[in-house]
Amino acid sequence: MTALLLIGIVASSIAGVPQSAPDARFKDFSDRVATYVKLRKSAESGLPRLKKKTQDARKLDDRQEALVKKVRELRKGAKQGDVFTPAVSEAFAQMIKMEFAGPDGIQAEKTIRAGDALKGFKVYVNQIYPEALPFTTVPPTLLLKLPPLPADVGYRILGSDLLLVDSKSRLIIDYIPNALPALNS
Amino acid sequence: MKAQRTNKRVIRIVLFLATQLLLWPVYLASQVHPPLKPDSVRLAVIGDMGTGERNQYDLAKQMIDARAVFPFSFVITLGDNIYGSNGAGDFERKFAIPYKPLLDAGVKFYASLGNHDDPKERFYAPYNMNGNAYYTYKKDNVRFFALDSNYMDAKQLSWLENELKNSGSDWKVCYFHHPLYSSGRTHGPSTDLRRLLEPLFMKYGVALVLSGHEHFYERIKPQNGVYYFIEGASGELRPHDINESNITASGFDTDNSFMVLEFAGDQMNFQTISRTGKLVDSGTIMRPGLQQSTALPAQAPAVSTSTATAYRSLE
Repeated sequence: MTALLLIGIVASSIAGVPQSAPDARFKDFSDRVATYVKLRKSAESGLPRLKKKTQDARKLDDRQEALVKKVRELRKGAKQGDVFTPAVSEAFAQMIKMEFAGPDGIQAEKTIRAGDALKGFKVYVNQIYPEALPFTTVPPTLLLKLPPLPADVGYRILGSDLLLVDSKSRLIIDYIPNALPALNS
Repeated sequence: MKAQRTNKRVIRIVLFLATQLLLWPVYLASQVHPPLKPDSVRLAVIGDMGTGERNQYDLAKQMIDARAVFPFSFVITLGDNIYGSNGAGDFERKFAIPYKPLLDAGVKFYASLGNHDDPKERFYAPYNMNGNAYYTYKKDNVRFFALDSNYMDAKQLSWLENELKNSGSDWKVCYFHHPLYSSGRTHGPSTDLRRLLEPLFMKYGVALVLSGHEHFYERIKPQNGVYYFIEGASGELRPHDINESNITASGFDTDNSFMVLEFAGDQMNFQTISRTGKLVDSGTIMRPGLQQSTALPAQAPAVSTSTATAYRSLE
């Protein structure tokens, strides 16, 4: 939690970058993300340690597979809304709506449209973000307004859904359906 | 009689082709002619290459041949290192095999990630990312910043500003996947990203910015004192995708390409080479901030380019 607050403070010092003040509505969300990170750490503790680099790409595959299996076990029964609770989802939706209606909205739309079209993919929790699908860039100006996340957890956009993805396992932690305008689906 | 004539003809064709093959390195040598100054920093630039298909392999062969003439010691990648599936076999077929002669010769690769890359690539040793999605390193008087333009969050921006501020290097070079300026029909510029990065580049004297994403080569006219290049055709190619605009200084979108750069003192020489070994663009850039002290007239272009080959076939 302290780390999240620190990131927010550091971010607010970037020259010329509009920053939002920490928003009390997102405290519960940040706590739930922190709980997920603890769970992932626990899952990782039983796996062989990943060095900062390896020559053998198979080790990367093996570890990712093992991590996916373990996290899925620990999050058995996880469902949409566990992290993005209805109240938090509403707060995100409001924030995103304001962003797209505001002065940065056109740029944010362009960023999403500049990505590759993503079609025919139904999102659900604990699913792996498919490796054949490219990532849509999360508009950086929007990203700066969303609650900061710890390392290796990130926001992703898929069609009009806002996803929370674990970049170590590629697992979809949770998502908000139709949080964004459908620009690139 | 007729059969003998046919045989002679076949032999002549084979001999002609063999001669061409033997002369190929010489031909290439005549196309690639960087200054090769002593103690210069020499590198190659590739982007959007990881298809594992014929064009990637052909271009990799050109890079290997070019290195015989221009011995670059490292390669930077502008993202989309591995397209599609991302298993161990893909790392082999789309990276380790095509660039094997370079890797075996000790050439280091410093990767950045594109929208098709898996974050796990950070841990792949030959990419030299050491587990980081963004990182910095120095080669003599040139400081390189490999950024993750897929996810430009507050943490990365803060890191970049801090690193730029504390960099005492003569040259600052940033590279990442999404271009801030582009004349591409398919994608176009990442203006949202530009809004955040450009002020930092200007404030801290970044000289050169290299990006991919667009599947062509484009040299952008200097924007606010910063030189921008797109090299996203080192495997992928989107023919005729450049919509020539008032920011286009030069472009090439009819075949795959890669770049070689040479930093020597206050000069940076660049050459862009096609899949067939043709030099498609070249020139010299003076380090920003020094232009007033050079002999160039105030209004002189800071980039001097080669003549006939400096433009793509825009017909």
